[in-house]
Amino acid sequence: MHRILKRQIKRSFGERVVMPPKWAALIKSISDTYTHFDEDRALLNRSFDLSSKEFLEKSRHLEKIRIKVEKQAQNLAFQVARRTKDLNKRITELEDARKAMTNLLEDFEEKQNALAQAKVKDEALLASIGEGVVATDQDGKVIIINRIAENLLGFAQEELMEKFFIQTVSLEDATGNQITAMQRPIILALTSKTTTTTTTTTCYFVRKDKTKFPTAITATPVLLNAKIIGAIIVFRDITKEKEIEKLRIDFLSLASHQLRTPLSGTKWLIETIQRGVTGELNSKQKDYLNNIYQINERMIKLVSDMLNVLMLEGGVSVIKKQKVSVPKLFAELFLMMESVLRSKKIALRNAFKNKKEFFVLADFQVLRSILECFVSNAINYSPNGGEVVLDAEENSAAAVFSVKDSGIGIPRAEQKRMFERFYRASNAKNLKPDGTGLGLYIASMLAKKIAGEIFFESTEGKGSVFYLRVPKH
Amino acid sequence: MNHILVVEDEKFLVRALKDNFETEGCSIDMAMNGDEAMERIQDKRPDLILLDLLMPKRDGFFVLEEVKKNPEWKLIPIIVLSNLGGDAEIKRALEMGANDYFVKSQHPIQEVIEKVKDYLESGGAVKRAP
Repeated sequence: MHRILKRQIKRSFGERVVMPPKWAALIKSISDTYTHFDEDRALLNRSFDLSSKEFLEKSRHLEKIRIKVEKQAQNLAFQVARRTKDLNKRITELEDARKAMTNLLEDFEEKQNALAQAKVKDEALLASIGEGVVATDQDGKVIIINRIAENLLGFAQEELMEKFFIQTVSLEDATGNQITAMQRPIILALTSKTTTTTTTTTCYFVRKDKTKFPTAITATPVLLNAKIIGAIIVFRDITKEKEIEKLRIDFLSLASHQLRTPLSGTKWLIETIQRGVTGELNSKQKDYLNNIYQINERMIKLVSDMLNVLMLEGGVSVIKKQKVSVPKLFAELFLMMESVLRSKKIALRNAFKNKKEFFVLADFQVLRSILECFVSNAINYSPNGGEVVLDAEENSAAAVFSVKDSGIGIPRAEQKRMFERFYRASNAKNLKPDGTGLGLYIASMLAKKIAGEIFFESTEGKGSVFYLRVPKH
Repeated sequence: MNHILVVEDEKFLVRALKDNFETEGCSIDMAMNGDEAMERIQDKRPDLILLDLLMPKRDGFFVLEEVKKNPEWKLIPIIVLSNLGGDAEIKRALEMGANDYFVKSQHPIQEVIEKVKDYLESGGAVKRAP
C-alpha cells in the first residue's frame, strides 16, 4: 500500500483498524493510483530536470555561438574599416594619378606646340639660310633640300627628293674630272663619321643645265646614339671668292714686284761699287758699304718671307702631289746650301747616303723649302766648324726627315713659341740680329699644306733636331 | 767686242749693268721698253739680251715672243732679269724661249755677269741649269 494512503487511513481510522476485505480491491486501486501519480510526478520531475539541463547546455552553446559571431562581426568590422581605409587611399592615389595625367597631357600639348613652332622656325631658317643645304639618309638619299640648294644646283626639290644625291648631282675637280663616289664629301661623312670640308681644293658642282660653279662644301654626319643616320652638306657658290682671290694674287704679285724693285736695285748698285767698277774704296768706306748691303739683304729676306706668308695664308699656292725621291731631294738641298756652307765652314753630312732610296708623295718644292729652312737655321745657329746632319727614315705610316745640329739650342721656356709668326728665341736674336722670325712659321704652314707636321727636340747650348713628318697616303 | 742689249726701265739698274759690262769689255745698248728694244735689235743685232719683264708700253714677254719667232734672232741668248718671282712667270718665260731667268733680288750681280760671260764665250750654247 502507498505510504501516503497508509498514513491517511491511520489518521482517519486509528492504528488498529482492520479494513473489511471488501475494501481491499478499492484500497489497492487507490494505492496504485497514488503510485502511478508518484511515478508520473517523478517522470515529470525528471523531464523537467532533463529539459533545464538541456536548456542550460543549449544556452551555453548559444552563448558560445554568440561570442563567435560577435568575434566574427568584430573581425568583419575591422576588415571593412581596413578595406575602407585602403580604398580611400586608392581613391586619393587615383586622384593624384589623374592630376598627374592631366599635367602630363598639358605638358605634352605644350611640347607639341613648341615642337610645331620649332619646326616652323627650322623650316624658315632652312629656307632663308644663305647657303645650300642638302640632308640625306644613311644611304645617301636626299631627305631635305632648301631653296638655295635648289637654285644653286638648278634642280627642283622633287627632282632630288628620295634620289641618291651623288648620282643626280655631279661634282668635278678643277680639271673637269668627275670626283669619284668615295671621294664625295657626303660619302666621306656617311662612312667615316668625320666632318669634311673642301677648303684646300676647289670643287665644281655641275648644274642641271650642265653649267658649273665653284663651291666650298662642308659635309657632316648626323649621329644618333653614335650611329650614323644621315649626312648634311652645306655648300655655297664661291665664284666671287675665287675672283677676289685672283685679285689678291695679282695684287700680291704686283706688290712683291714693286717692293723688290728698289731693293734689288740697291743690291746691284752696292755690288757694282764693291766690285770696284766705280773705283777703289778705302777700308772704312768698304765697311760702311758692307753694312748697307747687309741691311738691304735683311730687307730683301723680310719682304720675301712676308710675301710668302701672305701667299700661304691666302691659300694661294698650288700644292702638287709628286713622287719625290729622298736622295734626289737631298742632292738638291746640298746644291742650294753649298755657298752658305762654304762661307760658314760648317759641314753638312748626309746620313742617308748609304740607305735605300725611298719615295715620298708630296710637293717637291714644299719639302725642299721646309728642309731648307731647317738646314739654314742649323747653319745659322751653329758655331763655325760645326756639323749639321741630314737624315730620313720611313715606316709604314710616314716618312720622317730630320736635321740635327750642335748649335745654340732653344731655351726650354721659349720652345713652345717657336712656330709663332715673327717669334725669335732670345739667344738666336743675340747671335743673329737680322733674322726675320718667319722661317719656322712658314715651314709649319708649308707642312700643314702637305698634311705633315713639324716638331723638334732641343737643349740650350747643346743643339737641336728638327723633324718633318710626312704621312703616306 | 761682244754687244749686249739691256732692256730695263729702271735707270739706275741700266747704269749699273752698263758700268759692269763695259768693265768686262762689252758694248752696251739700252732700251727702256719693249718697243725700244725691238728698234735697237733692228739697228744692231746684239750677241745677248738682258731682259726685264714688267715695263711700260710693250713688256718683256712681247720682246721674247718677237725675238724667238724671228729666224734671224732666235738664237740670241735672252736672260730674263725680273723682280717677278712667281713660279708661273718663270715657267712662262722659260717656255717662251728665255735661256735663263734671274729673280733680281735673289742673285748677286756677279752671278749674272758670270752667266752672261758663259753664254758669250760658248756662243749661246750654254745649258740651262735644271
